[in-house]
Amino acid sequence: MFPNRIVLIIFATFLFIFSSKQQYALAANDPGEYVMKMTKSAIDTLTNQSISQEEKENQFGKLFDKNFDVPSISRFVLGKYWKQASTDQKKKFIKTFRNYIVKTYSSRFGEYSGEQLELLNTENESNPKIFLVHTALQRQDAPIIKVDWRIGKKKDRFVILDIIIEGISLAVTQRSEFVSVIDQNEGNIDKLISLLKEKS
Amino acid sequence: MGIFFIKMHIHKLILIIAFLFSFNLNSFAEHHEGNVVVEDAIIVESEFDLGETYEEKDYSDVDPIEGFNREVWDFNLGLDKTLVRPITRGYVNAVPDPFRRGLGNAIDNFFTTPQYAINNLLQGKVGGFFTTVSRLVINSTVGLGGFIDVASKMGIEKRPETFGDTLGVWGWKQSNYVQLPFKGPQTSRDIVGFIGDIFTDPLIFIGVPLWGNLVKTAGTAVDDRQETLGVLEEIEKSSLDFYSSIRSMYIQKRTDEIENDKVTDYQSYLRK
Repeated sequence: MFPNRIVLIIFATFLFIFSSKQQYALAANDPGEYVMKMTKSAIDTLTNQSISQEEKENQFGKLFDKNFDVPSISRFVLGKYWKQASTDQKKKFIKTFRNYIVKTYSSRFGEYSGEQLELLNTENESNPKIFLVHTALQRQDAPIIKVDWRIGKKKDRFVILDIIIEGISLAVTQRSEFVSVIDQNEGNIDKLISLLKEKS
Repeated sequence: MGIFFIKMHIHKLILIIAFLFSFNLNSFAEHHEGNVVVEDAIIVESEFDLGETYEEKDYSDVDPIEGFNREVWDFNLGLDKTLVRPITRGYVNAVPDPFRRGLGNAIDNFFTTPQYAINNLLQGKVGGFFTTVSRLVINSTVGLGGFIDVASKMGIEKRPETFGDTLGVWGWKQSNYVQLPFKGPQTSRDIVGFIGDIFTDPLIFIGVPLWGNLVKTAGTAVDDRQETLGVLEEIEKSSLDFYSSIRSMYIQKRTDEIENDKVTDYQSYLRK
């Protein structure tokens, strides 16, 4: 009985150290390393067969809040309408947009089947706090998919500003769509917010 | 061995504990769901301006005939839902994956390599030209008439270039967005390019009558559609305005295909 307990304690300690290390590990030194670590934990979460879709969304949401610069992205995707929006509308928009993205992207990962992400290199942008990380998704018997990450460096951590898949920027795509929706509704930002709510 | 066995048990136990714990967290978080706190400060906190990186452009300025395009888009979407999608789904269900991939490879090998080869040459990409020619030779012989893409397995990657790409490289940068009935999203540059591509179509070279071309078009449509089966439906489901999402994605992708050469970029990154 006794050795069992020792093993348990050692194992538990080990697990504790390991899991806390994992959390600190996300505070990577360079943008490339950051992208690799972050995607690994996102994929682990989203492909975990032992948890329900609801729980997946929940965990993915936490990961999302930690890693995506939602305020900056929100400002960008509203385009010319950001300046016109009231503070109240901005707040409402940020919240709905966040829920919409988490909902749609956590279900899109259902298709994932073990593709490997490979780090290629990191480029500096004209703004010294923004980096472009090039990666490639390796698939079996199919051409690679190039995935670029626009990463911002905050005081204490890195954040994702945009993901560009095969030259298609998610931020630009969202902006085109949102601006087009507001245009069609005579500049009514609340209409966009309520449509987003319906979808999430 | 014994210790290993104990570890396995403990591992299971910890998993169970972790599961119970996550369950607790779950119910806790559920309580707060949809309750993301957005402070005023957060708006001020937005410290990165993506507008610096991307030019201010929603794609309506390259879509002068948007009203017409939207009607054609609706028509195409109807056609897809009633005809192309069910046929493709039937094909995917009936024919096993290796065979479908083989057929796709063969279609590519036969119909597109002459086009890729010539347009690589027209753009001055001599490496791309020789790559394409060696792909044709290897796949037609060792690859059993293009059925098996042996060249890719050897690391000789596809270098697709159409006459539309060539026109882009030659300097036709700004191009309007057009929805063609039966064909889908196009740019005006690609429509002109399409006329150029007729001259590199092997079917026309060997004098196959019109019905042969129609069969080819239908076949490639189904072959192309299976790649986006599921994905396109997912985008449609989550889109607020499917038309403008696709328009934006299409133009971004075409611009990227013309400005960047994926294969050479990839190889040069790997060398660094």
